[in-house]
Amino acid sequence: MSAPLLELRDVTRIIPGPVPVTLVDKVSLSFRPGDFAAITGPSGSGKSSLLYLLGLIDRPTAGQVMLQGRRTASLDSDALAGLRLANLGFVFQFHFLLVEFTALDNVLLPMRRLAALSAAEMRARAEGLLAQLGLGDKLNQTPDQLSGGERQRVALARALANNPDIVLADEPTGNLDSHNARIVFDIFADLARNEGKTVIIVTHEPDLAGEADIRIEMLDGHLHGIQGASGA
Amino acid sequence: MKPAALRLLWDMCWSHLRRRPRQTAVSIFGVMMGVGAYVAISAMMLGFQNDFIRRIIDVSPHVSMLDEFRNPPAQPVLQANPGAVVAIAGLRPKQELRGIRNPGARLASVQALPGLRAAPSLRGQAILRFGSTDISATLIGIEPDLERQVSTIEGDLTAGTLGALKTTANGIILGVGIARKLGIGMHDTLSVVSPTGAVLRMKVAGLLRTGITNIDSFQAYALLKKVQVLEGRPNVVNRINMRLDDVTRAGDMALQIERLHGYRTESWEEANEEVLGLFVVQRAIMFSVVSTILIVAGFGIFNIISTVIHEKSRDIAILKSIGFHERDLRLVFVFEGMALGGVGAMLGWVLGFGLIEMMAQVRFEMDLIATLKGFVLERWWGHYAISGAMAVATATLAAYLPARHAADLDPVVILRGGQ
Repeated sequence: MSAPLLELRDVTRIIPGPVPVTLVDKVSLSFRPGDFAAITGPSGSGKSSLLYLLGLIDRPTAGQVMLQGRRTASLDSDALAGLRLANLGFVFQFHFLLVEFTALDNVLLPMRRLAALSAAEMRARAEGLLAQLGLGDKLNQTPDQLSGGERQRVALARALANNPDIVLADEPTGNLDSHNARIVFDIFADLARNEGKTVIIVTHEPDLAGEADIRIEMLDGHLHGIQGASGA
Repeated sequence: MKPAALRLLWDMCWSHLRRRPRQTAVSIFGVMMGVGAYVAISAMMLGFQNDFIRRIIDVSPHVSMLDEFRNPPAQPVLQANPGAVVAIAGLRPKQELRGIRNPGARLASVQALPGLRAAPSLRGQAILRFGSTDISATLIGIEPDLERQVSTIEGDLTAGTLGALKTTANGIILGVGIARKLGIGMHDTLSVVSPTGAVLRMKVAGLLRTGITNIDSFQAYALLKKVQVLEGRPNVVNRINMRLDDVTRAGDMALQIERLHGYRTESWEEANEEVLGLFVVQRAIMFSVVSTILIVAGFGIFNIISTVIHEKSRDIAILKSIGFHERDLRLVFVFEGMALGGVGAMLGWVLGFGLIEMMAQVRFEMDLIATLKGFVLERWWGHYAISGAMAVATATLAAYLPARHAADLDPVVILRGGQ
């Protein structure tokens, strides 16, 4: 079995204040390349908080988040940003595309920031990703000219722009009709099963969650249950 | 950071500005007004100041030895008991004829200094009377041959020559302001009354226009000997005026001569320090006014960037979660400030240049501390550079404060709120 790509070790996240709020409490998980995991649970159970910790957007109050075997707790914000840029792709419930930019420009954003490819290579890759997601004819459309499903697919293409090993999605189908939700979900499944990416999705929808290889259930910040091949 | 990444940040900055054309235009307009005003007012003010200083340097002596001491001489009792506590009451100064003692030797001494020419003069007050009009004036006794070497008054004569003082019996040269007030012209004869009551009939041998009101309206020149007789101070001079090859050495030279001879010796800067001080105040006021305009423009920029940041907080969050560094986001908004400041500065330069050229066309005559025949404008590149730097610095600072806030935004808080 391959080494864990992303791992949580006794991770706790508490929001300090007069009455401290525990968002995530001593959660340990590990994910390997090709894992397709769904995090479920009622509202306020800590699903999104767990995803932000997995995505190095948030820092744990206690415990360790390990990316490719590397401890991340002691890294500064620039180093974490660098790791996110090169290794992680994010999709959110709301597309969060830059409205001034075209679909193509939005997909180019992470690539241009990383600047690892030439301009022509970046453009070819962005066009390829959009075509792969059925948006080959929408390259120069701005977000307000696209439908909800199309926007979400552009957001997905942006998440994949730097060819990350891990894709994290927070309710990616939450704003979509069932048809578009199915399309987007199938893309995630394909990324994990055929491209070997680690895909972790937070979802409220039990039907979609049921199709994931690993199902993680959160309740009141605790890990309530894990079903599937991976986990710790 | 790689150029491609920098270009991306610039594109983001440009997209923000382009999306708000009206706010962007207003911010740029504010900066433009500040820079334009600075360039135009500076050109006018510096032009006037430099013109005035040039005239002073041309017309007045660079260094003058006066018949007074900077500090009163120490009393014998203090000299005999240095450091002692001495109280002197009822001190009465000696009655003696004022003037520079042994002027001939002192004149020869300073004339021996390299790069320096000197001429003696006696200045006294006199009443100039022509018909029923009396005017109080400063009457200056000079030696034309030496005076020629230390001042440019000969070049400022609108009628007559300096040499005419020697060839005309009791000749006098009047400032054009005096002549106008008296209604007198060349070769007319007027009465000159000294404070001692002596009266001399003098003939106008020249008219002087320097452009400096203080000279043209209040000074008259005659032969040194005549003035000494009129003032009842034979063989006395109360000034030795000097002109230097290098005017910038005036201060040092004055100090050196004063140390040597003891008499108060003033450089042209010291003699005109009130006016020069006024210029400093004038520049400070102008700087304050223009700074205020730029600060107000800065508030405009602060406002637009704060608004953009508020509206774009979700974008900021997503960019941070994608992997943009905090400094990237700071740079995007600082670029916006710099762009607003830079474009505003360039338009301000055009405005300032236009205003200067417009002012250059305006013609008028005005007697202030100098006679003006229009705006004297100093077209100096430094005004453009200073105003541009001030504008960009103000705009950048105005942008930096909200930009820092943008960089510090916590994406988790925004992403939670956004959902």
